[in-house]
Amino acid sequence: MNLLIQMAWRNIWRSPWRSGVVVGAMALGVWAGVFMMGLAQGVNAARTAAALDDYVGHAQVTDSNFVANQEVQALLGQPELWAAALDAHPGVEAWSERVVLTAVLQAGAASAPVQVLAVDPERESRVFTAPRHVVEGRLGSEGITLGQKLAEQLGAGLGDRVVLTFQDVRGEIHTVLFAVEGVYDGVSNLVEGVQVYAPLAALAPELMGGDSLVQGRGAVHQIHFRVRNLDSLDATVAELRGAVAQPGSAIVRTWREISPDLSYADEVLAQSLLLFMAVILFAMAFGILNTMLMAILERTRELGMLMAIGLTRRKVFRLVVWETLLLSFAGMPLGLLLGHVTIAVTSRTGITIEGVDKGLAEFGLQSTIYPVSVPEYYLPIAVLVAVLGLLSSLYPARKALKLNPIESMRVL
Amino acid sequence: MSTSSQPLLRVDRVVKTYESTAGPVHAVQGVSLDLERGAFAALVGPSGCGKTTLLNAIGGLDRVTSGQIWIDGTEITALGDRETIEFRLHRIGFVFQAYNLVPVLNAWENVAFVMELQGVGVRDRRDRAFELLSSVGLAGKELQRPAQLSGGQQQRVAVARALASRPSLVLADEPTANLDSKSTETLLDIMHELNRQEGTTFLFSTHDQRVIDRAEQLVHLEDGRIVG
Repeated sequence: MNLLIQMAWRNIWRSPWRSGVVVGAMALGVWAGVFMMGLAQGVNAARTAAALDDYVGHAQVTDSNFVANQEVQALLGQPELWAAALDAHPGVEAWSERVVLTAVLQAGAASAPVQVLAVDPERESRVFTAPRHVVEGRLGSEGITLGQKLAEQLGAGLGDRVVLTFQDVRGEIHTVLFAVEGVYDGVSNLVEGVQVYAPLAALAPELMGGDSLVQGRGAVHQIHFRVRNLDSLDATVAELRGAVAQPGSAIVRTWREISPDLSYADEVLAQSLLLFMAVILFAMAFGILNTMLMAILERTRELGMLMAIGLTRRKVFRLVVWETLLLSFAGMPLGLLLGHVTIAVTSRTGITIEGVDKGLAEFGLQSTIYPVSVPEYYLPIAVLVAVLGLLSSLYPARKALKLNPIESMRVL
Repeated sequence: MSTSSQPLLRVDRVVKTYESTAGPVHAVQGVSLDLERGAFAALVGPSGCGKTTLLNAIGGLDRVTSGQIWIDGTEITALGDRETIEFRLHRIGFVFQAYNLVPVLNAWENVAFVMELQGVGVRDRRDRAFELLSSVGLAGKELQRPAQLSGGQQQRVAVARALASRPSLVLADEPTANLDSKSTETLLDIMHELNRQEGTTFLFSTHDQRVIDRAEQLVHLEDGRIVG
């Protein structure tokens, strides 16, 4: 190995305590950063998983016009062919058809705007977990199911009669009388306040304005489906896109297309976490800079002698830069290792945060968080350490460059 | 100008004046001297007479106010900073009063450091460093760090380091000032032997009588002038 680099490495350990503190601080900083990254990724992964399970689903087949303007007339063409394709695909675990309407729900004197999800209760509960969160009654095959918040708002309870008013595909206003058959505990107050479930079999003919040609499965806005392995979702979706010969304006969308905010959250989180790490390391860079300045001050005489016997200013600069980089890098592997091990352990045991259950539940999260391993960040962290190490070496190296051999050798 | 008939070192009317708060200090005042190749010479005189200033000027560590210095046919007073460093690296060896070894390098690494700067390969510089350490009586001490060596031994490592680059001239500033009598005698014996064997020219600055007694050429300085 180059003697200059060996010298730089050994110089670090001339003050073992001082360098040890810097190395320890770096290890601690990297550990804290990595662990926080893992924790944040765990929260995000849980939030995404909860959102997919609760209301987004893994993927859906729908009409592109429905995506564009949510018009009630934008029905999915040939839903029976799509249903057959989904049934036939081995990667698809379950599917559920939906009619989605905007309506007004009236209970007694109170009324509220709602979004109606007309579903087959049995199929719906195989794709989404939300129907399993029914706290009173059941997800009705004849009646309507309200969120707790809406039920409270309207003063409606099980067995009460409510009227749903909406526009059918012909533009005519329809009113349908339902009994409240269930009350669910939704992923958030917002969802509970606006979303209601109604039986697809009862609502679809009404939606078509009583058209006898269209029954049941004939009136569908979306078919949501769940895959057996989320990692192969893209492949499954790609295969399904070619499964129906003439799909017309039907499209198959993954959750990333259905709810881009969820995947944006992933990207934003990745950037935020690196920024967070950069702030930690930036603070550490000042400690490293200070340590190196002290080291240069203590070794003024030695550096002067080295310059006298032939060490060029360029090599003096290089020596100080190497020393700073090695000092910066010494604690990083330990920090990464500790962070990795901590995440590996806590990703199995989980970290339970007491007293914030309700707050977390608002985001669809449990109070136990399972951190996620983040090896994809290790290289960016190493680059950050290198860049900040390099930056913090510049001032001490400049100081060393200004040394005069004779004057330096006079220093006691 | 590099011919064997010319002196290895020529100092021609060198003046060095410092500015201080009390006014100008005339450290060296028009010194001229010649040193033949293979000389074992000493600049002698009381403290503050300008020995170290002249030695620093000869070594290219300090700029002269006026005058010229030639070493082995090269006028070092005319060289730029980078060329001076390069010249020092290849042509001049230094031995300092306080040894000035690098504490984190062991004996052979200290000796080899200059060769590394010269671009000598690992094997060659290791062989040469071991050979030099052996010639200064430190065989078996190659892997010891300066802190594990006595003052005399450290100064012998410094001598080996000064010779590592096969310089034309070794400048030794008060090399025995921190040594006891026995170490001084040993060091002088070694330097004299190397002077004879390798033909390296030595120039000391000293006021140590033991060094003065061994020197083959003496240059007496007083108040920055040669007095004999």
